[in-house]
Formats: sequence, C-alpha cells, structure tokens
Amino acid sequence: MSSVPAFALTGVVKRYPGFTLGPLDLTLDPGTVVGFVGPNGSGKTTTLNCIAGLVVPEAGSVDVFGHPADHRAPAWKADIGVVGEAHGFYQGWTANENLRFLSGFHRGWSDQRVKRLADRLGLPLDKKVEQLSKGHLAKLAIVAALGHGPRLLLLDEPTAGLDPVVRAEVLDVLWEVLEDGEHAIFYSTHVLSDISRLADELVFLREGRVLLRSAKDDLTERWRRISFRLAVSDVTVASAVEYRRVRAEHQVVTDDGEATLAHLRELGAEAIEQSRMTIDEIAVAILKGGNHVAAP
Amino acid sequence: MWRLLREGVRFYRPVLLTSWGFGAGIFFLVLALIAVVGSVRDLNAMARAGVQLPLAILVASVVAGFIAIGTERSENRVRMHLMLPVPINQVAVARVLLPTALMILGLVASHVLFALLLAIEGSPVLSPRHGNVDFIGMQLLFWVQVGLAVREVIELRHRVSWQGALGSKALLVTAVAVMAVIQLGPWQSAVLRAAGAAALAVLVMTFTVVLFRRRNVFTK
Repeated sequence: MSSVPAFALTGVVKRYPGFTLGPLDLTLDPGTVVGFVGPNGSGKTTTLNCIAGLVVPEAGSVDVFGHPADHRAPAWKADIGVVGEAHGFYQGWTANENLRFLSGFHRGWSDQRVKRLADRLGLPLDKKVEQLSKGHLAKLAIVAALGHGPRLLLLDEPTAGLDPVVRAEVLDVLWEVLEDGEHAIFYSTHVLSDISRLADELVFLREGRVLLRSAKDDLTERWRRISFRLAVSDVTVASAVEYRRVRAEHQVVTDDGEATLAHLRELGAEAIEQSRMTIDEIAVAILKGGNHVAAP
Repeated sequence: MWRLLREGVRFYRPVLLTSWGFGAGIFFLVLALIAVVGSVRDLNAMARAGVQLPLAILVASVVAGFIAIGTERSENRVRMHLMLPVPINQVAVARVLLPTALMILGLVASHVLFALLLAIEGSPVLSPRHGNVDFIGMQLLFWVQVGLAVREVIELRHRVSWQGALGSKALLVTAVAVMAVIQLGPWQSAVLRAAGAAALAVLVMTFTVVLFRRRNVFTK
C-alpha cells in the first residue's frame, strides 16, 4: 500500500460570512473508507469541495496523492471521482452523450467499466439527462465518477433525496464496486446506516471543526448507555457525555463504558444496566456535544 | 480547450439553428405584414429591405450566445469542467469563446446570405451594408462578452469589499464608454470601427478570463 495519503488537508481555512471552516487537518489513507458526519451547515460540502478543487481555501494546503490541488497543473484530478447533488451534466444530452463527453478528457476511461456499471444500476443511457429521475441522476453521477477509475472517491450525500428502494440499490452497487479495497472513499452523509457497512473510520464535524475522528469499531465498543440507582440528587460521572436523572434512576451516555462502570461501582451505584448504542445514536450524542441534563 | 469548445458548440448547435430559424421567420413575417398592410408595396423597396435578413441572423446568433451563457450557468457547467483534468486557463478561455464561436458562426452565415443577396440582386447599393455587418457583429459580440464579464464582477463582489471590486467595475464601465465612442464617433470606415469593437471585445474577454482565474469558489 502506498504511504502517500489519498488526500491531506493541512491547516485549511475557508471563511464565508457567518461561517468559518477550519483550521482543518485531515488525511485519508489509500484504500480506506471514512464517513464524514455532521449536521447541515457544518462544512462537510465545503471540505469536499476544497479537496475537489472547487473551493480554494484562504489558508492551508490540499494535496491529493502527494500533488498539490492546483488548477494550473490538473493531473491530480484524474485520481478523483466526485459524486454530489450538483453535477453539471449537459441536460439536453443523453446520459450516454454526457459520458462520451467525459471519456474524451480522461485517459483512464473505460467504456467497459461504464457499461458494466450502467447495466448493473439499470441506468437508461439513451435518455436525456433532463428527463432522468432523481434516482437515475444519482446513478449517472456514480457512473460518471467511476468511469475513469479514480483512486479517490468523494461522495457528498449521494443518496440524498432518494426513496429507500433506489437508495438501497445505489448503495449496494456502490459498495460492490468499492469492496475491492483499491479506492479511498470519503463519504459525507447524515445517514450513518449508509456507511456503517464499510466505513473504517468516522470523522465528526461541527461548526467547521473536527470534533472527533475514531475507528468505527472502537466507537461501538466504547460507547454505552448506562442506567443506575444512587441515593444522591446529582452526580458527576467519569466519561459521561450525557446525563439524565428521572427520580431515583440516573442515566448516562458515556464514551468509555469500562471507565464509567468502574467509577459507578466506586460510588456505590446499584441496579446498573448497560446497553450498546447504535452508530446513529453515538453520532447524535457526539454532535449534540455533551449536554448535561438533569430532569426533576 | 478546443475539445471543450467543440463540444460546447455541438451542444448549442440546435439552439443556434433554432434561433436562426426564428430570426428569419420573424423577419419574413414582418416583411409580409409590411407588404400587406404597410406602404412599401413596390418590389424594389422590398428587395432593399431584404438585405436586413443577414442582420436578423446576426441578432439571432447573439440571442443564442446569451442562451448559452445562461444555460452554462444554470446547469452548473463550471463545476463539471473544473473536475476534468484540464488547466483552469483553458476552462476560462473556452468559457468566453463559446458565445464568441456562436457569434462568429452567425457572422459567417450573414456574409454568405449577403453574398447570395448580392448575387441575386446584383445591386451595388448593397455593398456598403455588407461592410457594416462586421461592425454590427463585433458590437454584438462585445455586448455578449460584457454579459459574461458582469457575472465575474458580481462573483468578485461576493469575495471582496465593494471598494475592492471598484477597479474592475470602473474598467468595465470604461470599456462600455469606449464602445459608445466607437459607435457614435466620426469615423467613416466600417472596417476600422469593426476592428475597434473587436479589440474591445477581446479586452473584455481577457478581463473575464483573469477574473475567473482569481475566483476561489467554483461551485456555481
């Protein structure tokens, strides 16, 4: 495996009125799948656009497979495939004409790969883009992004707005194609279940800053919801991210189940019950940012 | 760059041909209405009016140029083109050359029509008008390019202060003022005026390319 990261963001800052992204330091190793999670307006799309070169940061640097993301020397773009809601296809052309247009610019373009993907996705290549449904448009974006065999795939909520059937279909094919482990994938989404199958790591972003980067398995292993009884009105629990008390029963969400359990035993807590959390629940807890709530 | 331009022209070819069709159709409709209800009833006068047909084609080409600019923007083309392994300079130049190419095609079609009308009419009075086509064409090209340049100045205004964009605004206003001088000035030579308008159009194109390269957001 190459030691050069698929991309490296170093001290990246991008300012908009009322919002600043960064400073952001982020790398992605080749062959890894990272989920990029954050609420609306947290800077996910801006980050992806910085990597794709569609947004030029005010400070910091962006490198793709060791090459600076410089529009004057655009060879690095051959290594990137981008799927987002905005695409730029020629609406009056058919899907096939658009793909033929793209093929003229990419040396690594494979008509065979495109045909295989289009067949697998059931993409009507002879239909004009303006006549394609949202689902078909998403499929075309995926085929177009993979046509030249990029080593880095940037996916910006590629299933947003799709009905559950099409979403599952698109994800199935996406993962089928990507399971070869040759692609580095940076997948921005709200819907963690979309990426929980293949993501190696998750990066949580809020208000333009990375809150947490962690291996997915590590998160599901460490995070716990624990309830217990303790004859005190309020209690500070080690590693608690959320705390709630309903009469004599206390509930905590913790990012270190073992440490919290040990601490509760020391405090003399009784009727301790713990449960694992889903990745969606963990994400919500992380992004909410450690609310400490005591109910009467 | 040439591939981008060629594909762009291919995409807008139906738009250009349709515009020409509408231009010619409206022209003949007006001519027919004048012939039926107006005062110009003799055939010679009608034939003289007929030399305006190439100008209708020229105007139709400008309309196609503006449609191309609007469509490229609404379909987010910059986003797609900048994801291609093509240097930004080439994307920027292809962007300004696309409406120019449609305009040039219109100019060529106008010249061909003029030549045909001359061959049919054989009237020397048509010749001076023939020379004017280039001047009119270059003026129209200038205005199409101003449309693109204004877009870039607006983008610039989004990323710098009002004062910061003042220089660019002043440059654009100066270009428009110079064009007014070329249009209204005392020069008799249509060729010289056409050359002046063309030079100004090229200046505005260069200005647009420079501003595009300096953008830091290419998502729209």
